[in-house]
Amino acid sequence: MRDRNVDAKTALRKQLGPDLAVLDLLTEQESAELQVLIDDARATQRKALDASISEVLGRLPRLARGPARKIMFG
Amino acid sequence: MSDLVARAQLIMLAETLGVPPERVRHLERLGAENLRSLRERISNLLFDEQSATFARMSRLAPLVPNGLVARVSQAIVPPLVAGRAAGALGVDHPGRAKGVLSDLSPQYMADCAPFLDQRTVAVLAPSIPPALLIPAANELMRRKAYVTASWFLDYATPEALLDLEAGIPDKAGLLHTTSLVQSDERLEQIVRLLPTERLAVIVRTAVESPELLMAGLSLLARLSPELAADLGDILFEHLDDDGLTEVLRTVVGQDAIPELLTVAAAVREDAVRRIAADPFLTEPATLEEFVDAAVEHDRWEGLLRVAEHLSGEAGRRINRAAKSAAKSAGSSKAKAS
Repeated sequence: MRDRNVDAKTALRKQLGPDLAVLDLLTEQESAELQVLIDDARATQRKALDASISEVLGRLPRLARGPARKIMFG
Repeated sequence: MSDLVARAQLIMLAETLGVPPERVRHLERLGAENLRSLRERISNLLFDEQSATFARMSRLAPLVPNGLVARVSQAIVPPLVAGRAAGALGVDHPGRAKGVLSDLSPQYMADCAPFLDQRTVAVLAPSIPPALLIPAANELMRRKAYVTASWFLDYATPEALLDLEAGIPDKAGLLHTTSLVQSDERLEQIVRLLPTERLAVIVRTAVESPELLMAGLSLLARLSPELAADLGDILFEHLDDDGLTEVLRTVVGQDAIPELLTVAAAVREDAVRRIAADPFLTEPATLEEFVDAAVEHDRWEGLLRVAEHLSGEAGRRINRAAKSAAKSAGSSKAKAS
């Protein structure tokens, strides 16, 4: 989870790399907006992946389900 | 004309973030190269944080036959997930990529295409037979998803490029797609690879609509002068006088004078003479637009070539403006030093 005390540009640098020159061209507000969009995209991706994995496991041949669950969830 | 390549990068950034392009429209000012580096880093972040999950999914592969992968994916896996996972799985199991792709519908492949990890596409592209990709490429053309289609051109092998061009009947779509290729160097490689008669068919589609004309001019203006001359001549030869006037009107209306002047600097004398002879060009308001664009974008070479074929006040107006611009540039340079 992001530290809300850290300014948006610093947080973006930490996530995307300190050498990403384009971040210098963003205002603090643009950085904050972009950070929200990235956080949303990450959350959407996580949810979609989790949901798909559960569905896919349910569709596997019965014999493969046990080993598959073990691989995915330990 | 707003930069087509920057706009394409903006659309790709929006796709990566899963938002409509309007949400990031204000970032267009960053330019194509900056938008590309920003998008690539965000895309890498999204992929890399799921790498452990993708690695576990990859270990499932031996348990699931190709046909089942394709059937289950299309039935229940959303394109966002399938696209994200496909690259990682393809790299781990390159021998199976062909088999799975051949069982997927072109529609599903086109749905997944915007979500692929470009780093893995670069690794996988050379081993995928173009015949498997052509139906999906045609589906992308049908959807006018030129931005997505364009980045496949970045990674296609020379043989695949030739096969793709031959397998895509929508030549206007190909013009749109090619004009969005990010790097000028890669664009030059792609254009040089295609035989002239096949390129001519693509270039001639530029006169079919204002959007295609913008794509065509943007593409020509990014090529080396020698190649821009060859293709520019093909375009101008295809236009009758009314068609040329229509092109000039579109160019002024769409703010694409700098691109036209770049092309005018490269094409052969015949085409320049025809531009100069067009009655719309010498209308005072049009001429002022051309002079303003040459001043703003420093595109005098093309306009001065046109001026050589203009008599009377029109030619004098351009020459005066060029001299005045050269004088100001000289004095700014002197001040700077």
